Amino acid sequence: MPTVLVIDDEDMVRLVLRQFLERQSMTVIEAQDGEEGLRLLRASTVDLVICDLIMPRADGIGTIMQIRRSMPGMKIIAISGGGRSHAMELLKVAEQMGADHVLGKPFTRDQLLAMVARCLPNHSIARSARPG
Amino acid sequence: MLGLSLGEKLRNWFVEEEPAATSPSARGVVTHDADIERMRDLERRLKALLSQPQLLSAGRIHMLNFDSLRASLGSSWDELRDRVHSSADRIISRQIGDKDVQFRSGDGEYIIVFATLSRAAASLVCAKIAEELYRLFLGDPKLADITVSTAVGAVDGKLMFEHASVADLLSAVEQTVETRGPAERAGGPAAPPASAAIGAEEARRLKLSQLEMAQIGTMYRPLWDVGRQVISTYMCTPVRRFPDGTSVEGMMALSAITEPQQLAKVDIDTLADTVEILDELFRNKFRLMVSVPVCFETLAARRSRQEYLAICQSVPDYLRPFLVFEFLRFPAGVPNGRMSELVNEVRPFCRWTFMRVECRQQSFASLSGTGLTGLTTMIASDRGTEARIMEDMNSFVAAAERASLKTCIVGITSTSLAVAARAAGATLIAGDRIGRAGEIPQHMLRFGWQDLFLREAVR
Repeated sequence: MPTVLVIDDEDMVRLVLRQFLERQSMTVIEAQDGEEGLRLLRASTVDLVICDLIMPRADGIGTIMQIRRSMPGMKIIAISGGGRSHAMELLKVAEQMGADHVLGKPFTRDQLLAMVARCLPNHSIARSARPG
Repeated sequence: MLGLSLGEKLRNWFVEEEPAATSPSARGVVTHDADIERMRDLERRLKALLSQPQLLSAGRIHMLNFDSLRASLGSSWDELRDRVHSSADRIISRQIGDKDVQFRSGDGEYIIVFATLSRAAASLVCAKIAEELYRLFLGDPKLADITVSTAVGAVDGKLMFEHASVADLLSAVEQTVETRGPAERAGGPAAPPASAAIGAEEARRLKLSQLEMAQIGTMYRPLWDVGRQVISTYMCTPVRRFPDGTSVEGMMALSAITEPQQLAKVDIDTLADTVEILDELFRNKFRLMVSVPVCFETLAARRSRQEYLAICQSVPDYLRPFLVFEFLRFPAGVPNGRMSELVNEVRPFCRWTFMRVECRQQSFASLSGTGLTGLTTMIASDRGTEARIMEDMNSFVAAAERASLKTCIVGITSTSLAVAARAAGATLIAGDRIGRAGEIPQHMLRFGWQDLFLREAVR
């Protein structure tokens, strides 16, 4: 059973992602910011990181860069947006800094799961969510 | 005619045997010992003055009422009230003598009791006070609409006032001066007491010691144009250094200066120094923009504005595209017309005009169409408050964009704040995370996100 680390400062986003992923038989651990995320990453075995970019204390881009340096093979999905006018621009920056995939908020369950399926090809994802 | 509340207050001052409960120091106001002593001293001085029967006949008690200013400011009055009162306090304190007494008797209403000046001289001082205050907030006020009231008698314990417009009082003085001979005007004897009182302001202006002035310097802080990924502008910011080695910058550095003339001096020196530096850099093939701070007080008062604009006019044409003005200490709620007037005074000499505002101010609709290019704001956050600051930045930028204004956020101390500021849509950002302030502006620098993050990784 793959383990996914969700790093996002918004409780609601973490809750929704947890529900999506647990229904796909994945274990989910949560962090409220980059610092906590890095701490959990060092203490656990994680297969995929889903990381928000705009967070207090430790932003997502810096966090992605640190993960990429210490765990080059880690799969990372960057998520951002939420009504901020220039958030999408930052997703491009995240991609340049090491995110495997990026996803702008708001996104649908299927969009997220399709991206997760690309990152974890050995794990079975419900058919409706597989990339076409 | 005198309002009842004012009449009651003044009557209380007149009656020596009035119960102590009516005195300011005994009204249940919790004050510091020094404040209590100051109020008692004020009370003693007022009673001493008002116990002299010749005061009324001499016309030494005057009332200034700023109702017309309040009417002109309209809905902005509530926001500007404190600023008007503090400006009025400052102007009155500067214009009156040590033995004169002034106190605020209501919302926008002041009583001044002159110890020695004649009625004409005292009226003139009041007229000058009103003129300066109105010019500060309205630019070019209708002096005929402003009245100075002089107490001329007491009936049943209430003071009776006569009123004169500021325009009439000032024109009477001009006529008096014109009818005097040139030799007398050039330095002859018998200068009127009012002129003496006004002339005395020169000696009172220099309250800040030379040592203190020397502690206020300037630094240049790099501004990152996030969209263009370049540091192309350096923000000149006042810095006040303390003997223990600490310092504060920006508006905090200017907070110790209370006299508009001192602020104007700092502004003029800063502009002159910055233009000289800019010129030198330009001659050495450096191409960069510099933002120069200028205070509301400097631009609002005619005399200092003229001095400031004289420096602006001497800025060579080739440097003007590299100059940005940042307006400091502008009160929220300055009328749109007044704002346009002040912006347009400096626009011919610069590329952009920005105004420093509070981050939490939620509407800038009144600034739309004034010619202002954008807004700067200073955020002060620690790690614990970053989440709230991020929300504030979102609201600030959204409000500025609704008024078609660019935004510059100063105080970016972490990468997460830089990311959030850009996500919010800020045009320019500055702070220690972007670059520390230096003694002189540096060159233009291409500076991408990767540079920002890699620099953090190296730390």
